[in-house]
Amino acid sequence: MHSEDRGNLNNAIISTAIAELGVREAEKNLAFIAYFNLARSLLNTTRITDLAEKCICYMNEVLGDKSFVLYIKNNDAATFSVYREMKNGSITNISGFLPDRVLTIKSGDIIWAYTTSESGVPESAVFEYFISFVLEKKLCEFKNSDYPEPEKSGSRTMHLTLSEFIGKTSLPMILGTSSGIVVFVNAHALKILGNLQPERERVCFSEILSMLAENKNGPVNYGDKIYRIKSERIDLNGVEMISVVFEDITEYKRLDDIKTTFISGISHEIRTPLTSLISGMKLLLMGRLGYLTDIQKHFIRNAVKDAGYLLELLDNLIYVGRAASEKKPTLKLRKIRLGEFFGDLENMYLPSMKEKYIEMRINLDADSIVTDEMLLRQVFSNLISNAIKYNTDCGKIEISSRLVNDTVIIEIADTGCGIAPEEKEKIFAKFSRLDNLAHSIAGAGMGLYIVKYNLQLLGGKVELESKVGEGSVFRITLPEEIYEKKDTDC
Amino acid sequence: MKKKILIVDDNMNIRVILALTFSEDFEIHEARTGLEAVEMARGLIPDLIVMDVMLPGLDGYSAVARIRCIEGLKNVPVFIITADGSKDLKAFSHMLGIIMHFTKPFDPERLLSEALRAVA
Repeated sequence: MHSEDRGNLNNAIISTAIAELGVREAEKNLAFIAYFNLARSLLNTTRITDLAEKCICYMNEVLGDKSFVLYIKNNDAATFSVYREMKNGSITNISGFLPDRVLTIKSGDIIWAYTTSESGVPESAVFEYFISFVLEKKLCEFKNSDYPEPEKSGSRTMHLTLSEFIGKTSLPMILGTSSGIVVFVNAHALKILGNLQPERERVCFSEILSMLAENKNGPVNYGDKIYRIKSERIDLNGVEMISVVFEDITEYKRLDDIKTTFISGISHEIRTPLTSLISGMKLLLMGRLGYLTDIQKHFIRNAVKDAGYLLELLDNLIYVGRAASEKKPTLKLRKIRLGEFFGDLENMYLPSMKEKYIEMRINLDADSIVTDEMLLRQVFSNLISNAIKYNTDCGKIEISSRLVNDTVIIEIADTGCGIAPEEKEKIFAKFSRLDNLAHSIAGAGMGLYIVKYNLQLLGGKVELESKVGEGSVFRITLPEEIYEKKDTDC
Repeated sequence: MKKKILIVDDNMNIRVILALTFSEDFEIHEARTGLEAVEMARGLIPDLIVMDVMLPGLDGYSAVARIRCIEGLKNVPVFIITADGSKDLKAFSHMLGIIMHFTKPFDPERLLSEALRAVA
């Protein structure tokens, strides 16, 4: 900016200030403006928080409470301005560095407000105030219409007032500091937050932000809509900020529910005839209905095996469908002897291990655990079935357990094809298969999803160590004894 | 004389398989609903009952409860066949004196050997 322009500007501000505030108040404001000009020239070399703090301190001394520093940053420039509440309730820009009426804001700009909250004004009150002034266009009362717009540097800029900008953003959005101070809430987010705590007269946004940060992983119901909350950390000139975006997934969830209901409904329908098919074929194998030749027996045995696989697939589908309906099953806890438990599983998988000449070794240092046996059985039957399926002929499977500080660690190691690092994350997702093997090895990609889901229910977790071509180790960590939380506590 | 078995299932295919499983060793009687089973049991006084759970109208467990009230059937052995084993009604079964559970698809060979043992 040329010094001539700055002079003109200062003159304009002085006349505006005197007209609005009277001479005594104007003097205070102008002293601040002089200070602010100096501070602003340091903008590129000073941390924005330090600068804002200095301005706020100065303002508190000169002007008293209820002032805001508003900072808008984009690739081209940063605007740093200070607002003060006037006696008539309007908000006036007293820094003189914001163009009148129109803010130049592009999508992707960072809008940041620093307030006098640290000087004793209750946080929630300040932010409600800030938000209301943003929403109610009080900003437009600033009168310095001669101030030139910032230079455009090639990129297309949009001219919007702040409230218009907010109105046009379709994503509900909150911006806050990592310490939980909310500095920006747009109208859509405000609506959602209104639904969140309608019974409260005053909404404390910092409370909400920390609340949101806690359950950012799962979808949340507000009113009749379902949102997925995404939060992201942003580094803003050395200040860590958190942006929270609400993604409306109501429709997605509805379609997902239809899909789940459909799959589980159709699975039940298929299950009934399939079971009579299997029992009927077994009846044939019994020889009660007449003598079967060896070749006939061979084909019927294969049919029973395949039908059995189909049934397992259906049961997994039904189980995954039930898991998706978010009804948490009640755990049936009892003491399990791991020796017996794995012995049973070994017997169950003996035929398929024999087929591939796979050897299983079980070495248990920890033998006792209190948990839900059915859920645990599903976990290990899936892991063992995978260890066989993806193993090489004449391969090995080693199961070991040990107790570390009230935690039982069970490892199941195979000598199979291994899992590449980039696949590690996604193999636990629903219907996920290893890309290179999806066609050659049967499966629907539900096993590891069930493993992860069940372990969550049991308060445990699964980790994976693997080298391509050498094998994989799945490490299961479970509490030695789990206690169910009682719902009556709250 | 052959022992009498009452087979209760609303699915015809299952009834046929069960009938064929037991036909050599038992006198077969079939019912399609819970109520029909209770009525048939009253006149028949069977030696063994094989009962499905999901039946139209009166379910399998309720039918067993009613059958238990019939003179001469207080201790009749009952096998329950469930569509999926996830329903844990074991405590309830114990109360009703149900001696065994089978999950569909059942193995006819095992079912027969257990049945023969139960009526021996």
